[in-house]
Amino acid sequence: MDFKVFLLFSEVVLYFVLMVGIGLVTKKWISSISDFFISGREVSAITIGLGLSAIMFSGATLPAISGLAITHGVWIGSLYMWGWAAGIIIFGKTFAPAIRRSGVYTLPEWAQIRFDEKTRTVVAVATSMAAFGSLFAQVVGLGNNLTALTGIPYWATTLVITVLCTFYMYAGGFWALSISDMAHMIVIMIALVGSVIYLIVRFGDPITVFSGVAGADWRVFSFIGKADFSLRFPSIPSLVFGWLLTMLGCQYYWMRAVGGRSEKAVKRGYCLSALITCIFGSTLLAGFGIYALHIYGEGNFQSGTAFGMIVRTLPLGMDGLMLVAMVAACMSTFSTALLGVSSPILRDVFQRFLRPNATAEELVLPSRIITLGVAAIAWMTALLWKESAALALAAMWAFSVPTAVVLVLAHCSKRITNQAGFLGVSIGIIVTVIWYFAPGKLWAKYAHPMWVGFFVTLIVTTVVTIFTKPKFYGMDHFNPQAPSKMKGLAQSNAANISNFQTQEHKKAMQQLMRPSIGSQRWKSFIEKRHRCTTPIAKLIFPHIVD
Amino acid sequence: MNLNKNEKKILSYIREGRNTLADFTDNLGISAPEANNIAENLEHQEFIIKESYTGIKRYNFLLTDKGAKELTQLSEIEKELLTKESINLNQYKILKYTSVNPNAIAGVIAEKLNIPAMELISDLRYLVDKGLMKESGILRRKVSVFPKGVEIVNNYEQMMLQESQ
Repeated sequence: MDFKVFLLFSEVVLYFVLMVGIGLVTKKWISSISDFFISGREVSAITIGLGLSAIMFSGATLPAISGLAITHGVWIGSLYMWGWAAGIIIFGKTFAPAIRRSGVYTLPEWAQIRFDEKTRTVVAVATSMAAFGSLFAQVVGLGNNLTALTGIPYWATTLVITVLCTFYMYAGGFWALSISDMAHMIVIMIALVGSVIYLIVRFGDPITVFSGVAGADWRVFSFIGKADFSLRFPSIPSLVFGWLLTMLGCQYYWMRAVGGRSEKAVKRGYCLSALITCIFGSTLLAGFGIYALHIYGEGNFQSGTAFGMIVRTLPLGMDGLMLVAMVAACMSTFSTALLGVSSPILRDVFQRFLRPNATAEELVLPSRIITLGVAAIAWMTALLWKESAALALAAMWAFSVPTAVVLVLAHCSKRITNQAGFLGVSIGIIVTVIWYFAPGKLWAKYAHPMWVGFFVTLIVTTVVTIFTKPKFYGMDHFNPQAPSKMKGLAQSNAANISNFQTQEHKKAMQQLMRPSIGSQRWKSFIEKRHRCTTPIAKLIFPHIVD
Repeated sequence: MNLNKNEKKILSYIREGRNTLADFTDNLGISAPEANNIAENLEHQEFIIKESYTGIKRYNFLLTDKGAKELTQLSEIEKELLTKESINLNQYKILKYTSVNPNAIAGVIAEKLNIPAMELISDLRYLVDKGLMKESGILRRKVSVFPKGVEIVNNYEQMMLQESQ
């Protein structure tokens, strides 16, 4: 074994040891199902932010963004991550606090709260399938990457990675996931920044490289590049709205909101993840594609391998770090998806039908066994149907979007009926799957399946709602009672709580707008112009001002 | 009116300001759909109402006059705490413990005060929202009490002693 391979192995093994350590430490923190699946609702904003970013940096994202920069232009490559960031901010500010407040553990539980048991069952199947598609694709991606780089057989690399991830997830559940995701993201950020510095020092600054690259007129100097406004992928509407639709209907984006320690922490965490991904994952990753073009020249490599080509140019040690980052990217999504599949199976199937009276403590072992079983099935699937990984990843979109549409409608309207929710999700999924498998690759010619799911679900849910009877509070003649104003009730003091929060925000606002430099007279001048500065602050820090 | 144990508990949670579906779920130790069924049943009988039927306030509940009449009687000290400070006895105990143990880890507080972990989460959420406590910690949640919380602890200490005697 030469020194380079030895160094590569050592870095990966060291990282694996860290993951085992995380599993062993967090195992002690698990005493009930709420610890295992939602970390006892203790997760902080920073942990949520890093964890969500880690989901986005998957094994597929790194090469996809660099590749898109080559095929469609650097801004379209960046838009891939900007679309995700916009989606996560909308999710975090609008839906995540509501999810946290609803007390659910899983998306199907929410479906039962808003609709009925039938809808819960359909959503449980859909969300499990969506997360399983992602899980399976990550195993294949990890196996392929490690096999290509080390020469170890595919079955062995996939087995090692599955056993490792399953070990720490089995031991520490959501706690292990949260902490390992922090480690993953820190490694990814260091590796990306280190690589960028190396590329700049070795091959020139971005302005020179970007402006001198082949096809710079459309790759760099056009914001639209080779993208269009169709409903195919990657088009501008698909990149802008696709992620929001996917994450709203996907259990593993819900888990972060459910496990947050407060609504404020949830909101901040989601916004933080948007910031991290925009800084480290958008133009920076797209830039890798442009540097690959600059170094190797057009036509000498496939666009999808641009990221790998950059890794090959890195010096000894740094290539190992980048390999660890790539493994970390896959592991983070694998672990999240693993919990994303096992939590609905435990909560919406096992506990609901088999052990409805089990205590939170009694459900820890079944949760672990289910997690183990799901991982085993994912590994076997990855061995048997390796070629179907891309299709499985696409299934995530197909199964998530109909649920997302119904969620948004139900969140905004009290009129949406149980039948509409059930039929909207069911028909939406069926039509989307048919669109996928229909002969002639309709999804490539006309529209990405998520758009089919979006429009079909929207139409079905709206039409069925018109012709069916809503819940009692959706009826036109429904007239709710007035809240009690009796003394000694906390709700009589609710206004006080709200006032306190307003005052706190005002103080934070004033603090924020106070200039840190300048004379006393200047500072006083700025502070007195609070009314003028508030709209600007609102634009930049809406979560503080609102 | 014959309300069962969980229904009565939900009414008292709302009285104390722990009025979201997450509070009911965490305090009762049941799933959100089960908690929602109980809440909707109470709503049908007009004991409670939702603060709104769309958006985030869909998960907030308020007592009606009919519901307020069904509330169980409180002891003098509980009444005093709730009326003047809008906190319950458990929340007072949490304030007292954290006033002498700053940066206490949530799990340790639950163990020391013998409060179920998820119930504690709901109490902490309420105390932080009221501005009596602050939370910190990147991994495990740590809580400390603000001076306003310490003031409450000091004000009621004597009364608590008399009550225990």
